[in-house]
Amino acid sequence: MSMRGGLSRSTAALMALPLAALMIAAFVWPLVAFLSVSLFDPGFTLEHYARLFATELYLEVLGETILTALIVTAVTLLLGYPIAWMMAKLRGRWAWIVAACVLIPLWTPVLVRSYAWIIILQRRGVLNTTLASLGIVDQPLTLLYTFGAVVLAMTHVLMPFMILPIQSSLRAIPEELPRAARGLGASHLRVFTSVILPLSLPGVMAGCLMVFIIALGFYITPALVGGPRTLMISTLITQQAFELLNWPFAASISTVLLVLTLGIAIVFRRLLNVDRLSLHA
Amino acid sequence: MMTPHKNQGGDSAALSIRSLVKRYGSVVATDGVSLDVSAGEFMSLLGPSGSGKTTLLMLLAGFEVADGGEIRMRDRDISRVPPNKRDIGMVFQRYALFPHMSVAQNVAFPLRMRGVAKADREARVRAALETVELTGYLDRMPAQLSGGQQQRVALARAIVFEPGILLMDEPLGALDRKLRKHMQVELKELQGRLGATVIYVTHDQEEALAMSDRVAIINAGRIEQLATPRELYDAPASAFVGDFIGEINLFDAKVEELESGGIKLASGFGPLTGTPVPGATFSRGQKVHVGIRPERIAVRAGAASDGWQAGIRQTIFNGSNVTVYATMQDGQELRATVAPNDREASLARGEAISLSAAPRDVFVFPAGAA
Repeated sequence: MSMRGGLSRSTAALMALPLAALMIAAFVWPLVAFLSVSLFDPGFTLEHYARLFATELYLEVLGETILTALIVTAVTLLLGYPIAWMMAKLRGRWAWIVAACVLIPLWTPVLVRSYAWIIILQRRGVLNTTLASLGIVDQPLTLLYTFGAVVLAMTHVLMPFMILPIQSSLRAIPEELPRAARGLGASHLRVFTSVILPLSLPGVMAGCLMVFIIALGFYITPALVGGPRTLMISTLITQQAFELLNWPFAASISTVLLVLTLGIAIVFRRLLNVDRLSLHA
Repeated sequence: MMTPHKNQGGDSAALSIRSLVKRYGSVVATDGVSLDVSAGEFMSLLGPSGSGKTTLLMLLAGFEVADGGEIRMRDRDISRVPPNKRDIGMVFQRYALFPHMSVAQNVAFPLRMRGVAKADREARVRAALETVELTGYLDRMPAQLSGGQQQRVALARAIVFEPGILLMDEPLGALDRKLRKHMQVELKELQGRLGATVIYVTHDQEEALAMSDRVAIINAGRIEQLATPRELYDAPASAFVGDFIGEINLFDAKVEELESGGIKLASGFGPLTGTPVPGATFSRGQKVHVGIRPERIAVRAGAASDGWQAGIRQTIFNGSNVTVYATMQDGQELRATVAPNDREASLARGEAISLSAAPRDVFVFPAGAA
């Protein structure tokens, strides 16, 4: 909703001032300071970037991180869309139950959820003992510290970020639209493909963007569930900063990650022209 | 769409509804409705909100399935046919245009769903938009159109696939009064030009009277009366219809005598003679409802001996006429309309008048209903 007729522009700007000041002091300035560390050591240098792009290992980690984020985004979309649809359709008590199932994990710390996956997936964990007692496997499976485990746990953690925006865009579709499509000759499948899906795209885009970007910088879950063998870019940054104390190099990796994230956000917006799809009928 | 089709009855019915019933729990929303709509007819379903007209519409469109009865279109039972397989074009109250599709894409939608080839589709979309006078708007998005234009697109979308029946759910409800009047005329002309069979759902009695060949008055899930607008006004079948269509004075009376010329009645303000509604039987001493249209009451200044004595309570100027609020001898109030230039129009509060009405203008309804 617009603020037309409410606050004047200058009053609104004045009210935004404290937060803007806080953001600049506590976020923008430290960020700029940290990023500039990568360029001045002590004089201006591109040495750290040169090293980053010349080392195959780092580029591999970067590639792996992007791949992981893409896979996690795809899986959350495929699993999340039906849940979002269900949430948008349900009314009354069941709507609350499904919403609680989606939201409660969101309020649980990531650390707790990651440890929960360790308990489930470890060698003598819940899953392996169940499979063994059912006689499905003789040897415990290696589940933890695998790429699959990372994708699984990240998908779980990031699911609400996919479901909620999709759900809200589905809810915004007036109910007479699918009805009109039905009445004009569309089967249930075609109502979905030609009306519901296109109209929910803004939510899908928002969800994908959010999940992808958060996944790119994910740290705790991959570090815990993926073990030392699955190295994500954020793990690399932490290693450089806190173990090797190479702050300029950590800063340069961070800069690359930030630029990558911003670039993807911009491309997403341009490519899919989300604004055109928004509902203003 | 325009070829008349013979059914067993001999006359051409585009749509027949037989004893249709729909219940929601213990609520009977459609209570045994039967109805025939002729090909090329403009029929309105008129009723107050909650009367069950929307349920009837949903049953016709196929969004709801009846618990009993039958809907036949051209001798084909469509009661259990899903909405996308019914040959019905629908116009919704809030247009329901697809916001992510252009005008052309919206109108092409039903053709695309029916697998019409692209070239044919484009030609038909153009023709439909021409019919509603929206040529040149092909590439606009719905959000760029005014309410009236959106309404035309919705209409083009509903007629483009030449359905057997056009179903309209308060299609002009979202437009302002002036535009609504204009669209009524246009819609009616268009319907005549296409020879389309239209079922028009509305709660606006003026609109229903202005546009329809026949109007079905819906009340409590049943058809209260099905007649031409003129008949509904001149010969309402029940007090409900009389009250719903136009203005009417309704009051209680008692049957004194049954005569061939009419029923002699006793009311609180004096004796009167009325005409029984068809189908109702009355007996002496029975309590009845009486209805008289305000413009059928003659007002004379002064206390004449042959009328009902009354006093002026108020006169209200309406432009084309003046409403006289008269206080009768028993204290109840009757409304009568007179021409603005009549002497009676300028009487002052408290002045004596006498009222009268011809027996054929005094409707006698059985008491109990409404």
